[in-house]
Amino acid sequence: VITRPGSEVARDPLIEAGVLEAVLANVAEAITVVDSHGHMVFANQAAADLLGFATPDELTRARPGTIMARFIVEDEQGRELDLEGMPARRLFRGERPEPLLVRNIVRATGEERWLIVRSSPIPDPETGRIGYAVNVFENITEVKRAQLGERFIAHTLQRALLPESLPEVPHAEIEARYCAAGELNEVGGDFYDVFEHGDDSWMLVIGDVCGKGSRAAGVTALARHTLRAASMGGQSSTEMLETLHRALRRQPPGADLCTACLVLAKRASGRMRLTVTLAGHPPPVLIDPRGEARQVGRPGTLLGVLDPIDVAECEDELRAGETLLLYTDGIPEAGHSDEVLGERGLIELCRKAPGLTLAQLLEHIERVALEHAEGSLRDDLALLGLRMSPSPLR
Amino acid sequence: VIVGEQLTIEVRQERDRIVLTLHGELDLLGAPRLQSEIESNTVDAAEIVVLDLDDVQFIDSAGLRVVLAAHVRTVERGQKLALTPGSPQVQRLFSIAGVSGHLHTIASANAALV
Repeated sequence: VITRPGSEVARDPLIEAGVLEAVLANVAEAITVVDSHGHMVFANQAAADLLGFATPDELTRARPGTIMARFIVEDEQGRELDLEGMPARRLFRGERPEPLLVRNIVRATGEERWLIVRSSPIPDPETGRIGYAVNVFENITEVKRAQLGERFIAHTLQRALLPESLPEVPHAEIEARYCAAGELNEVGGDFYDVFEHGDDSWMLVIGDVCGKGSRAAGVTALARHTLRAASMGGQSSTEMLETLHRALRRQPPGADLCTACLVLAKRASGRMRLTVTLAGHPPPVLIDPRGEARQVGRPGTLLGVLDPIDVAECEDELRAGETLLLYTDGIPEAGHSDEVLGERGLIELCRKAPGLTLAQLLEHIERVALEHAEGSLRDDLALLGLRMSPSPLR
Repeated sequence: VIVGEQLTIEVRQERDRIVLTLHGELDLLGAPRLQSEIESNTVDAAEIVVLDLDDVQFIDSAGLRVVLAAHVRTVERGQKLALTPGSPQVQRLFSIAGVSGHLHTIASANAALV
């Protein structure tokens, strides 16, 4: 025991008597202590159980290196890790390792475990160097399995929420992109769709359900399919939005907000006639072949909360070489709150459109939004673009 | 999640109303805080509820959802809800959402409700 002047350490006699060791022996987490040569000088029963030994004594007697050989050890991305990559070794190399999440497979049985390995140093009182490393292994297999299961369900649901393919529109191109926000919110509320709506007409839909997780996923599916069904029944854009609003109002209370933008594109000679109807959704951007961009549509009430809704059908035109861009608020809201990309930022990006294919334009916007968000999105991103061929229709 | 300036809420009783002054960001993280204030007994007991949004730097759809939930709740309970206009970003979001006509806006937290 080292004592410094003025800081006499009064050691508890119980701890001297090995009570501390008894405490460590009985904690649920596996704990080992190794020296700088890799020799294990202490292990508790939980560590012996985890590493496949009958007793802590058997474990501490095992030769260094032979223990690790019993397992396949990978990081979360599936890259194999060796002993040198373990936090304890890194401590002895003078690094300050973060807790490490590892997937651990017992070679003998194929059993899979997920472990968090934490190592902390015990300095040698004489030299001040690191004499020992204490390893704590936390078994999070259950948590991890649940998380992976949920993620699988989420991905499956997400695929059901978006169309598998977009229809062909003569003399025009359609592209879409979708990017879900962080893994905690796996299923987002953004959706888009494109389908025929009467002769020579197509309906472009983009929308956003406020909320995350399975409930939002359910509402998102309801929104997309209600709009499709309403379209098949021959409803106008306004009627389709009113139908969806009523469907949302019949949901159990919980204020499910939904925004939607409908664009009816009807083929006319040399151009497309557009009818843009907004319900709480940011206005689409129309970009001409020189890159001049403007917003189209008039604000309308979002769906599912307030009665009655008030929406307006606005007429416009998409001429040869022009592009119409629909998006969700994840694009303008990307970034830190005091410097979001903004509607203005998006319009600036659209000015680059003439030099890019439609697919490249969408990809570019998505990339800039992601860069703006510094890899940490608040919300999903969805983009849907319609571009008329440069040569006029006949 | 990008963590911005955390939302703080000041609650004070004025002559005829309760005023909730919001500072910071009314986003996914701040929204639940406002929600629980709105559902508190003090707010329930007031005849007039004012949300002072003038110092809200940023609002997103989660924030909007709570403001609308407050609107619905106060209507159901026979209370009056009023908001101060807030920053251009807040106003733009309400405008896009098409809800400005449903919400009662007053120039400042102690202005009269017409």
